[in-house]
Amino acid sequence: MRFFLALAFLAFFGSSSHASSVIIPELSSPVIDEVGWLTQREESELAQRLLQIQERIQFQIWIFDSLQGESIEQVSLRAAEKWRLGRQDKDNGLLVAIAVQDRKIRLEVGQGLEGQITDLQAGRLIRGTLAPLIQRGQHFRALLSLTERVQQLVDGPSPSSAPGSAVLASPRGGGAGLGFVVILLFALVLIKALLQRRWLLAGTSSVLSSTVFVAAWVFFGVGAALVFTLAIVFLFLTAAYPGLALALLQSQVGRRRSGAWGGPSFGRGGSWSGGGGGFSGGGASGGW
Amino acid sequence: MNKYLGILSMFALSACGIQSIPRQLNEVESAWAEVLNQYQRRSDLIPNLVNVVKGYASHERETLEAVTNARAAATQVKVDPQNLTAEKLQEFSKAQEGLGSALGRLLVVAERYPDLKANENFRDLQTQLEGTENRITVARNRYIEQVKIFNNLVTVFPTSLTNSIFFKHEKKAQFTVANEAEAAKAPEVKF
Repeated sequence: MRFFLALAFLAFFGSSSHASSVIIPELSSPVIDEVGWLTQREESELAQRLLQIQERIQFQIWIFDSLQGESIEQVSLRAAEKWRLGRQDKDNGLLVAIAVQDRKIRLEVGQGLEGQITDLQAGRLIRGTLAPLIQRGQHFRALLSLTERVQQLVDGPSPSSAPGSAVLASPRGGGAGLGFVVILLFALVLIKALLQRRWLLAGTSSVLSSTVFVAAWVFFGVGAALVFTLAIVFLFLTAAYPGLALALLQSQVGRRRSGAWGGPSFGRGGSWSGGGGGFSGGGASGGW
Repeated sequence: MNKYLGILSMFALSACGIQSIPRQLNEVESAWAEVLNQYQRRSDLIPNLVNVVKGYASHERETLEAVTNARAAATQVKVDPQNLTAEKLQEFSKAQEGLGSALGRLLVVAERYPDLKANENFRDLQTQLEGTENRITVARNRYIEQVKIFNNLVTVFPTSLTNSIFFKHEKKAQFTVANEAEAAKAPEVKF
């Protein structure tokens, strides 16, 4: 008996001499439930939902046992940074970390989502959506409602469903990229025409392109102006150098397709993994 | 032959760090800009907070004034990324800590007013403040990490050699907190 007491004594004091930190598990699925809050069925249904929206946000749910002395902010940030949730160029990761024993929740919002899910909204999501249902023991419903609310917040007033449109209309780098492409193509046509002494081509293409650009800008705005100019320049390109135009088209199509499927992935035989997104400490903490 | 080999290897070694040092310097400066950014965010939240509290606890004049004054003092200390000396950093850190503790006291006082605690505006500001404090911590930690990497580059061989030949950068001051324990507690109010 005394031996066991001594052992317990040693274990108790021995362990407190060095802080053991929470172990972050490997990223295996959008829902990691280490304490059995959800049934298998609930877990897979939730995971399915999260997979469906993975193009918009990489939503991760992590339910674990105890904080072991760390703060929920520290643990949550460590996990989000280790898993690199969200696409690298979009930083659209979202982590829901729930420490069951400590009754603490944190919503860690990726840098790219801070506009749609502000700290304030994250706080309200915890206080208004998660905590009340968790208090009533309805874990699955709590997480499901949270997913729905987050989807509403992220999709905004005009939900765009087609993944294709999401790729083309992405604000970050989309506009700048398009302008760059237009200028490149225009320069290509102009330089080739000048080199080949096709003065008429050079003259008409530049005059027409610039007129279209300015007119469209005045009437429709920069975005539309770029699109129209791109069309005109491409028309010239096709008319004057059809082979080149075809080659360009083929390379563009290939790139777009691979771009749409890049980032976080979970498919047949594939595995759920982080896309390299960043976090800057945004989000909110709470409890029940 | 050996002499040439020696000179050649010296050149090769000194090439170590010719890119990484300026690059890391940029990282440090950008990390500092982010720290400033988050402190500014906190500073911006304060006028609203003071107004809301005033609405319910107007006779807590001392505490309210303390916050406003601390904020003004903190705004005075300007540290731009290019001249981050140890003294400026110390000055900046102290000013911000002063603001932090004044804020903490304000929130403690606010706890005594149930109407204020229930006010939606106040709760929102509370959430925003907590969020900002967290971001400040994250930004600060990242800055500290970048400075550590830079200091390593500048003092550890072989990149230190390149530094002494070409750049002559000094070690950067590290972010120290005057009162470690107190700063670790973000102003927090339990309802």
